Amino acid sequence: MPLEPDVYAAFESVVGLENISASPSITQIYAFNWGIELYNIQIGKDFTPFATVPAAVILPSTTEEVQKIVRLCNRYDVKFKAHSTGFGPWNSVSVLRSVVMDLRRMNHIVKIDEKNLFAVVEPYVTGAQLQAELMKYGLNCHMPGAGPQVSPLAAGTSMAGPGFTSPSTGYSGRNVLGVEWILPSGDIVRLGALGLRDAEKSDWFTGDGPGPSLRGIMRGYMGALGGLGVFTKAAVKLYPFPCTPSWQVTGNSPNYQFQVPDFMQYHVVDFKTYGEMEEGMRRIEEEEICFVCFHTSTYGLGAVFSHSIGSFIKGIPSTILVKHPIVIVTAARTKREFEYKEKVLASLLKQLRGQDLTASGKIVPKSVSYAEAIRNLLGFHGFLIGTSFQSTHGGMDTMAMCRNMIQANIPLKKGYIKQKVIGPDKGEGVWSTSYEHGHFFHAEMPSMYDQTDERSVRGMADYMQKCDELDFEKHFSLPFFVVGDSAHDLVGPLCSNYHLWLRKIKESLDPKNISDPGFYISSKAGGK
Amino acid sequence: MNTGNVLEDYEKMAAKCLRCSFCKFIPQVAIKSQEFSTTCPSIDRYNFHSYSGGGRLVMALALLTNRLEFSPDVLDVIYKCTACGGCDVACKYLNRLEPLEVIQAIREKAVEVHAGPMPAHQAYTQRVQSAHNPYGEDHKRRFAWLPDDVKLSDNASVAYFVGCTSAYRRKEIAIATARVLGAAGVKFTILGEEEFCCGSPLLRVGDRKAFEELARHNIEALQRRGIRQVVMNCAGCYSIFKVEYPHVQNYGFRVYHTSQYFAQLLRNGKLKLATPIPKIATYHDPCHLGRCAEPYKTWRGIQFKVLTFIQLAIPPKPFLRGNRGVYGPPREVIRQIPGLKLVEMERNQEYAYCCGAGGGVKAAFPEFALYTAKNRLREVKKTGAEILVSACPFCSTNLQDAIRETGEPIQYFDISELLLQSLPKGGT
Amino acid sequence: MSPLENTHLEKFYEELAELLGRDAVSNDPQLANSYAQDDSFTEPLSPGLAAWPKSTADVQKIIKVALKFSVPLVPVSSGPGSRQHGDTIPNKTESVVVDLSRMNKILRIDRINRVVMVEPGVTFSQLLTEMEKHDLRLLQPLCPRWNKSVLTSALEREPTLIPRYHWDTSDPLLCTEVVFGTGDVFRTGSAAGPGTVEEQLASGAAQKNPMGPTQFNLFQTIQGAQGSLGIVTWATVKCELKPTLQKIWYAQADSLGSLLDFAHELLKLRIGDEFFLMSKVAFASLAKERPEEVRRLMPAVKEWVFVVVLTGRGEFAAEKVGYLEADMADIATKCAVSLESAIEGVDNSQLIASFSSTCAKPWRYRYKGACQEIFFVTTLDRAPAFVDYAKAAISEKCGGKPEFGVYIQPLVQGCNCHLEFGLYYDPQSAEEVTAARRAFSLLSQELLDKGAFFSRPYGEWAVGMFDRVSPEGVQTLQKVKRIFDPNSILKPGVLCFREGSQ
Repeated sequence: MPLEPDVYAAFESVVGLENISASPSITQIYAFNWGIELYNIQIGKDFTPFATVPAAVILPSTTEEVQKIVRLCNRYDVKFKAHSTGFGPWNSVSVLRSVVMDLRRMNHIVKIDEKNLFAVVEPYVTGAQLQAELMKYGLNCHMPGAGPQVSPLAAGTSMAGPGFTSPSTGYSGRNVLGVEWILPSGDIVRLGALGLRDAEKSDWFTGDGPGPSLRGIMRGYMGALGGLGVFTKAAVKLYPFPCTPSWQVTGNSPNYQFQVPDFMQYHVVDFKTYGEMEEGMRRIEEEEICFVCFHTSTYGLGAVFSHSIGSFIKGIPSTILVKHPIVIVTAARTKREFEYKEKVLASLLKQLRGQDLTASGKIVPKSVSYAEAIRNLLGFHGFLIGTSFQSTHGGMDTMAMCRNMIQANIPLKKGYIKQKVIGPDKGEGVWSTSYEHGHFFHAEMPSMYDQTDERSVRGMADYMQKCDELDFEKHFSLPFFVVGDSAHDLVGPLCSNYHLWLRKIKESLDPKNISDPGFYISSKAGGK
Repeated sequence: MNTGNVLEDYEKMAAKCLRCSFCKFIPQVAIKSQEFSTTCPSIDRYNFHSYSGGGRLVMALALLTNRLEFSPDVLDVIYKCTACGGCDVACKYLNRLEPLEVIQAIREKAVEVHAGPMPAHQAYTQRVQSAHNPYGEDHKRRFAWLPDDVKLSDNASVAYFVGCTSAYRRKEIAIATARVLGAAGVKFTILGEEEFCCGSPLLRVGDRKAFEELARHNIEALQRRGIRQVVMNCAGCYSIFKVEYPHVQNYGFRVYHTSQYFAQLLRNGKLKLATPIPKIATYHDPCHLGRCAEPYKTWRGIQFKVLTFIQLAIPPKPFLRGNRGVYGPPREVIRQIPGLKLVEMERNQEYAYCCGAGGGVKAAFPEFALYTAKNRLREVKKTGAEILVSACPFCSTNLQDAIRETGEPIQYFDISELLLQSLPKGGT
Repeated sequence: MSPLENTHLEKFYEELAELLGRDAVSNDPQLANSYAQDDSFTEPLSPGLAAWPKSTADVQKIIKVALKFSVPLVPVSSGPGSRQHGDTIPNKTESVVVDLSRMNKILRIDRINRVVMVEPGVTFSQLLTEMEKHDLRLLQPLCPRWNKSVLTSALEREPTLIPRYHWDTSDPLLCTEVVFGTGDVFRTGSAAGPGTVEEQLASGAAQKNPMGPTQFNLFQTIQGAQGSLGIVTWATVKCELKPTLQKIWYAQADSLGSLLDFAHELLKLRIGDEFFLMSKVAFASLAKERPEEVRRLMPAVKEWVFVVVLTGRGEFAAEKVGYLEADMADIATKCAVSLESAIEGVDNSQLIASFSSTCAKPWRYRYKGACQEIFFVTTLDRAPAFVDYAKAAISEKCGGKPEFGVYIQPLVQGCNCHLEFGLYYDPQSAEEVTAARRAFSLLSQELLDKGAFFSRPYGEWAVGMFDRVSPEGVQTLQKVKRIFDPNSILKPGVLCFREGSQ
């Protein structure tokens, strides 16, 4: 649905001729994303990897431009969806007469406050870029599991938050301080101390207060996925670089060699039973010695340390006999710290009957796997075999709940594996990581499916629905992707009728649904 | 590369694009700074996702599913790309797609349906067809650069294939190459008027048919003379000969880039470097000498699936990741120049940032070509280098255009020129 | 005013007494008076009634009746003597105090999952006593009064002692059950569902994840709301494991600035558990119980004291403390800071013990009998400038009185800190009380003008703070208020929810 010429001209006057396009050569491309085919089936649409085509794509470069665009959207009743690097189906618009705001031009690291341990970033700063700059200060940041090529701002304000370094760097949503937030109305709210009107005195060091924290309205376990305005800057918490800050990569793709910094060590530990693995995760994390600590399946283990299908297949004999692995990386700044951590781990593994496959030489990650651990690239190996994957479940609470969820899922998943609609992993496919040294754990069950095969996609969609039902039936914590009106209306009554309150928030802040509600919730007034 | 595939063969692959944006950056583990983290000049300049490797994959899908047609806007996206392969290298670190193949296939389809290439490309194609070079220069003067004191050997088994850009635009490189070969005592010949454009500028914009005619001509010209070794200083020519020509017609000669040949001459003691060049230098990897220079055998075999979805092939299908390009020899040569200190740029080897000239961009979008070269110059400057060295006359032209425009105090030399400077008495 | 003179309130009383039982509601003016004031300088005002719910259902009933009669409610959880900021004093005569102290069950202590679940009436003293039996320690503020509500402390974002365990501003608060001003019950975080709490426990969950449900974190918005959005009827609170070895270290200096690089570096590397800085008088008040002991200690202490406790647990406790000490010593050398394992006159084990216990009387009162705190959130590197402003303000505008102490508590793993000025005065001296009252107002204004961010804006700070933040933020908060307390019965007028603002 094209925009009227005067409406288009209004947007163009904000960003300039080069930074807006309604050409299908642009808009059709923005209608495509990872997982759209699955999402389309889930909402009863046709099998296609294309979502609704936006009327135009706009590239703002400043907060002021974003604000003007949002105000124009309100004036002309045009919906908008803003995204950063745009990875995932939730970046697409859900209704016609929408514009996409691609925030690519907003890619500045505004400030690194070395002493007070936060960095202020714009939306298109990627995790890898930020980490590379922070390393110069001996610092690090949390990165979401989607990879280092996505945006810490987007993860912190609008999306989920698990990452491979979560044991030591937490969850994206809990790593956010001050935020500059353009509401769907076009008003700018600056959270926390950033909200002080005197610009000389305002700063990013806290995003909470005065009084109630609007961070709680901004996002939850999951962010609003573009349904509650645009975030143009955010301060993210920083962490110490886990070991000596140096980054020496040599060689050629994919066989890069990384000069592993002093005092960093992988341990791939196997446990015989789920119960032992659960206890292992919990007890190891209590000791606060891990930079990385996650449980995966045997196939997941193989994928994480392979860089080609060939090496994945070759690695199967050494991983197939592994039962319930936990992948650990210890890292330290000094030798004595490292020795302590290694000693504690060794002693604990003895008590817990965990078999250290790395120490015994059975699974020895390559040097580049250390780089990938730091750079949070391990999860992307899930795409190695050349299909798509999507995760089911994703609830977060205790390791006991995660383990129960993992085990409950196995027979369900096996049924779909048998139908050959999803990849075979004995039903055990999982990524479960600790947060904040074992205070929380989440588990998601990644499943491979062929996004070009309608039968596989329908099977996967069906399986995902059954996984949600399993979570509700067994009272596990809510899965990640309870988003969108129909999901909220279904799940809300099971969970304190939260959907009624969430909808009130949307009604209050965006009665006309100007900020695309497709992956959030819509206001009654605006309808679907 | 000639995979034997056409655009339609890529529909499923294109649908598998994850839109992860790997294609916009150098391999994630290689990133050392924000400033030099990107790999794609096209999206760096134009910002819309369509202008990335992934964007063009999706564009292919949209064309194939009739969501798009070859409009001027679509051609703009297709051709504002140097086809440098940066996206390809980055994507393939963990994905299994072929962005560069798809970009090539879209261009060939555009030409096939007479939508492309761009007018500037069509113009130079006509010039190649009439004058055997894209510059429209007098073919008879292709070797006018040759100094009188350079001795050619009629019966030599080594031929120096000069290439259009060295012959007509970067004569200093041709002269230097000839003198270095002479100083090493290499008996070599040239094809003279039998040397036509290698065809790279035509193939890169999608005109495979016209390219193949040139390929056959050059191969036959060389074979007729019993040439056993062909040496070329142009990365574009090198890549075309090495990677593409074997798929047009078999040939019996060995192909060398001058950097490889010079490295060999140095190892064999045929070249002695005496004059120091006490400067700091950095080396720019030409795309067509590096990641785009991996020879490729057309795959024939069987494909089957295991574990429901994993596609395997017997024999294994080649999966080019840019790791077998010519990276060592140029560095080997540079490091032997006395007094010269080599400092690497952050983006080097298979993830070097493009100079901006290739893929028809210099001809059709000169402003974009210059933009890219200026980006690369910022990286050069960061190394503190006084000299920028490379091994391709096309990179030479574009990078020097940028140096001139920015006024940066950086000198550019081709490897052959540096070697010549370092030879005793300047090689004379 | 006798509530019986007010028929409106009388009807409320009768209806509520009918629902809850007469022992759960009181219209006794003397009893009401006990809520009229606290240790702050807030103008006293008696509520009309007081009610003591025993359950969530009771709280719902109270709210429903309050809605019917448009009666403002003031939730109170902590016992008398531990309320210090004026936030539990009504600002309307017809208010009803909802005293949650009878909801005092410790619902669960869970060592495995490092969490406790408590009702609002559970005090620090009560909970710490119970936790002695478990291998857990509470993430607590510095020496809370024994009858302070654990839940309220977490709800009010009171600063806790261990910055490296303070991952987000909201810690240690996790899930909550809350009754909104509409009377609706809601559970936040993973407690929301699916299932009842018991069903969730059976699935292995423990109401640990504070986030959600789904796309909002209402627990964060209720937190810091001073009871104006909902009344929390239980909460889960994060705990840590008890160390088996604790070693305290000090660094002293004449200037605050000279300790900060050291503090920053330790915070960055997550070295240290209990971790704070204090001025001399504040430290002496903490270390000693009686005023004369406080005064005697002061000469032995430099102007500024930095305190850090290194801990270890289990088999390798000594090794852990050993490497932490060695690493810390290296940093101290780099930062030109001298470390001391003892300060003459200070009992280390007593001081360490105080970090995981309560006090009978607020520790800040030990020096002179009373203390008014002014506190806000800032960054550690700004603290010296604020200290200088405070000194100048007291000196130039208050004739140098009263004496004040400084307590700096790093928060959120070093991203910011609680900066607190304690104004000491003798409550028996009218002159000192006047001086303290005047200085409190003046210094509060001064600090507001200098950009202090009062993230917990009690009383007059709220006026000053909300006037200084952008109106868009205020308007958004007011919208939130309209959602969760549309009839404005929960503490109307508090924060930015002033009359006519909604």
